[in-house]
This record gives sequence, structure tokens and C-alpha cells, in this order.
Amino acid sequence: MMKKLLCFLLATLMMAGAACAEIASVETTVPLTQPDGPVTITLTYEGPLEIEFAQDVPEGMVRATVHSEEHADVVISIAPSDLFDGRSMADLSEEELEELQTIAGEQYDNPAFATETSPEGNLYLFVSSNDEWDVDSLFTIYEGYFVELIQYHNDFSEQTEADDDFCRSLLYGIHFVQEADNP
Amino acid sequence: MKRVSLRVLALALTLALCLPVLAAATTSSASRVYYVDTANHKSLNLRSSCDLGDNIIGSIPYRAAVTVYDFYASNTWVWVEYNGKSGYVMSRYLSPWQPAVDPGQGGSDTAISYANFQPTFYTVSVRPSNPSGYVNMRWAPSKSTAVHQIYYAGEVLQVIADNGTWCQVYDTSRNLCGFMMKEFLTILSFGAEAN
Repeated sequence: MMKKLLCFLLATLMMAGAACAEIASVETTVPLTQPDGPVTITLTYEGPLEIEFAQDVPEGMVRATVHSEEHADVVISIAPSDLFDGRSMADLSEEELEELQTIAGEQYDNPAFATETSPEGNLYLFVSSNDEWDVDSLFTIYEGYFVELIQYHNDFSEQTEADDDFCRSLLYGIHFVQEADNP
Repeated sequence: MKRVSLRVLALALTLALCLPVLAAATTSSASRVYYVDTANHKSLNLRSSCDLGDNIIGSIPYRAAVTVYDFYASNTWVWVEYNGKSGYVMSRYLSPWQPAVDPGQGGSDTAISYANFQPTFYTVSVRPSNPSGYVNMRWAPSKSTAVHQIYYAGEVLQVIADNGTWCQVYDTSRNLCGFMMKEFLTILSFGAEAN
């Protein structure tokens, strides 16, 4: 009898443990582009995600706001560019990268720039307003599409390291599906 | 019958010969004068093709007038003529108005000045430097003032005053008023927003 009870308890514990593990590793994957679009981009995040897609965007564009209670919201914006048609950030010449950096910081007095490579190997350009009214953005070009993450608090107050980490975790969750990988 | 056929052939040949001349005349009548309006007041590169590669064939100074013939690549590039040389420049660095000689007079990027603002009324669409980017609306016409609101590509605003570098804009949907750099705006129409 005791043996049976122990076995039952063990089985219950194992099932509960498995369920907890399931909850802990819950992932949210959201398609950012239409399935029949020329490029397929998805966002995967470890945990629930509150995401709102803008309806009033120009044709071909996608704009989604990822809301967060703890961190500054992040706007993910995807737009095609005729100028970089079919090319990605890694294909650009040094002059083109410099030009991109210059125009990306044009509306700031003293912008800060950095580059970041995502786990998938996409080169991102980081642009920060670098002042007390803080707006940061991270963008890349993928096969002619600009993909940008723009982060700011509603009152444009300075962002914390935790805000940066949240933005980076979203960046790391963006996946580009190559045309050949598409079924 | 043979004579009629010959006449038709002659007429067709004359028309075919005249077509390029007619086309040129149409292009020429559609040309407009624009001015170089770079944010840093540097010269604008004139290029042999519509891309940013190693194709620079000339340089056009800030405020110089150019003749615009045509727009390409969704209006990103413009075919222009300057000093007898034709080539391509990026449309974002051209303005239908000649920029101020001294940008410090009401047009400075950092000093706040409301001088030289002319009341006006036209409708614009927001055009960030990157198609996926954003444009700041600020409390005052200076890069050093706080951001009031952020706008994305295609959002429509009314310009109520303009000093050549900054525009005072009004957002009818949010009932907000502030200042934006003119280079990030594209004119849609003069007068009220069509709705």
C-alpha cells in the first residue's frame, strides 16, 4: 500500500514538474509579415507578448507596437526600400553604411551609433538620440526591407539598461525565413 | 490607291521623326527649378546613376538651383541638370524654395528662434530618413528641445508656419501642435487636408 502511495506521489510530482517546465518555456511566435509576402519575418519571445498592429500604415509597411508594463514600448517597423532593392545590410559598401548612419542621425544634435549583430548574423545599426529625451532605434536591411525597432517611453524619459535588454530580447527573437526555406 | 498608300507612309514617317522632338518638348515644359537643401549645408553629390555607389560625377553647392526633369525609384532619385551637366541626386536634398542664406537666422538646428517664420497652410506627409523610421515633433524649432510626439512614414500633418528649415505643424487627429524639420516632410497639397 505504502509502495503504491509513493509511486502515485512520485508520478504526480513528475507530472506537475513537467507542467511547470512547460509553462516556464512558453514561447510566443507572431508573424510580422503576411504569409504570401516576398519576405517572411516572425517574432518569437520567451513569454506572453502584447502586440498591437497599426492599421493606418502605407501599403507594403508593417508597424506593430510591443507593449510592456515594466519597460519602454518597442515599435517594430518594416518597410520596403527601392533604394536597397533585394539587398541586405551585409551587402552594403562602407560608403553606403556611412550614408545610412548619417541620415539616421540627422534629426539629433549629438547622436550615438553602434553596430550589433543578431544571433542570426544580421548586422543592425543602433542609433540613440543620446540626450535626456531618449529615443533609441535598431535597424537592419533584409532583402530590400528595412526592419527597425524603435524604443521610447511615453514621456520620452531616459531609458534604462532593462529597457535596452527588453528591446534586445525582441531583436534576438526576429527571424527571417529565406525564400528557399519556405515550403 | 498606290498614291494614297504612299501618302499614309509619308505621314507615318514624318510623325515618327517628330516624336522624339515632341517628347523632348514635353519633358522640357515639365521641368521645374529646385534648390539644394542639405541638412548640414554641404554640397550635394551629382551621380551618373540612381544609386550610392562609386558614381559621383559632380558636386552641387548648398542653395544652388537645379533643373529637375524626372523622378525615379518611387521619387527617391531625381534626374537634374546643373551647370550644363545632367545626372541624378537624391530627392530628399532638394526643396522647391531656396533655403535661407544664413541658417542662423531662425533656422538654426540648436538655437531656439521663432524669427523668419512665415504663416502658410499646406498639407504634408511625414517622410523619415529610413522608410521604417520616425520623425520627431519637437516643442520648439530646435534639435535641442524635447520631443513632443513621434510620427511615422505616411502620417499627414498641416503646416501652419515655415522658416525654410523648420515647419510648425498641426496634427488634426491628435490635436497637437509642434515643430518638425522640413527635410522630413513631403508636400501633398496646398490648402486644407482633403477628407
